Amino acid sequence: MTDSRGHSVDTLRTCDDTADGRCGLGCCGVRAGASRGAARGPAVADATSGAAAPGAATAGGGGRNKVAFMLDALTLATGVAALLLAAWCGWAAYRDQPTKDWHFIGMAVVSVLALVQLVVGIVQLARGEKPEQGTAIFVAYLLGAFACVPAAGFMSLAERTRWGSVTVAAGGVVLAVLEVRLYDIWGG
Amino acid sequence: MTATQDGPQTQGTPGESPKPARTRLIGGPGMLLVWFYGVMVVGAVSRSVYQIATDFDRAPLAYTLSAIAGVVYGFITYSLVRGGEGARRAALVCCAAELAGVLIVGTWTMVEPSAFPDSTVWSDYGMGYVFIPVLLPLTALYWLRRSRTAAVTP
Repeated sequence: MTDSRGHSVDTLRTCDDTADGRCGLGCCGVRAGASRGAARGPAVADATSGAAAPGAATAGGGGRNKVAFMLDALTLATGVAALLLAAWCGWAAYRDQPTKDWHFIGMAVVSVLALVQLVVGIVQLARGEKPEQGTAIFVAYLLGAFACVPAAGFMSLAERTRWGSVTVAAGGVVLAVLEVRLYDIWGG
Repeated sequence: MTATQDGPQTQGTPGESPKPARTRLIGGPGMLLVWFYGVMVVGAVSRSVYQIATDFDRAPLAYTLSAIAGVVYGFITYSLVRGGEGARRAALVCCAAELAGVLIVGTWTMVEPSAFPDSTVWSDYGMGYVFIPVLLPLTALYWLRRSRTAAVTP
């Protein structure tokens, strides 16, 4: 529906208007990247205590705590980022707009988080850790979580109306649900 | 599939310009529908494949029903993406079957839980999937009926 002229104008306006939403995503990505260094805020502190307790309870091994924390932190970060993406694209849909460049950057951030999670999860398995509910299910969910947002993104490329935005928002919600399930499967 | 339908390729135009080479079923809200059906295909198929492969004997009925659900979802997704009047009718029939399946299996699991040692996709009307299994066919039926009227009245 949008010609190139309208698109560029819209993009500019979107940039200005969605400053908070974009910043939220950006911060989240940064935080996830820097989470080893206890980046900031109460959210990370909560994650630390929440993840450390079950880790200490289930396993005696010293390495498990740190690594399990990393996976849990990634799960949390990806889930939160997915929900932010959903809210952001939901807002675009509410304003009757298709997904724009900035939305795709947001999707890329979320997808990278999911990819890192996939890699870390596989490294965990390679180190001999066992997910509570089975390795196959764990890997299947990791792959599904990784594929989720890109798939929705491609569909929104094919549907250049508000419904493309709704689709990506739905993709974010689905990813968040997958993250909750992943947390359970890993045994949080 | 069975369609033997008209036109060459799907027109890349969203719903409002009905030049019916082949009724496009994934314009606008249809895209969201395809997304949810796609998610349900992946969910139901992967789940039933895993369960049937690992311990089929534990709950054969439940796992078979999940597999059937996955196949039905797959066919509906394919029909939606393909478009055209024949596919629309086929999808309509499948959605009705899906709705019936959800209601029957949902009631069945409530009335006689002992038949289901493990849950299916359709157990308790799809509660494990946030009731998407029961909401989806309703939405799809509405959408498919609407896109016929949209195609008929240009």
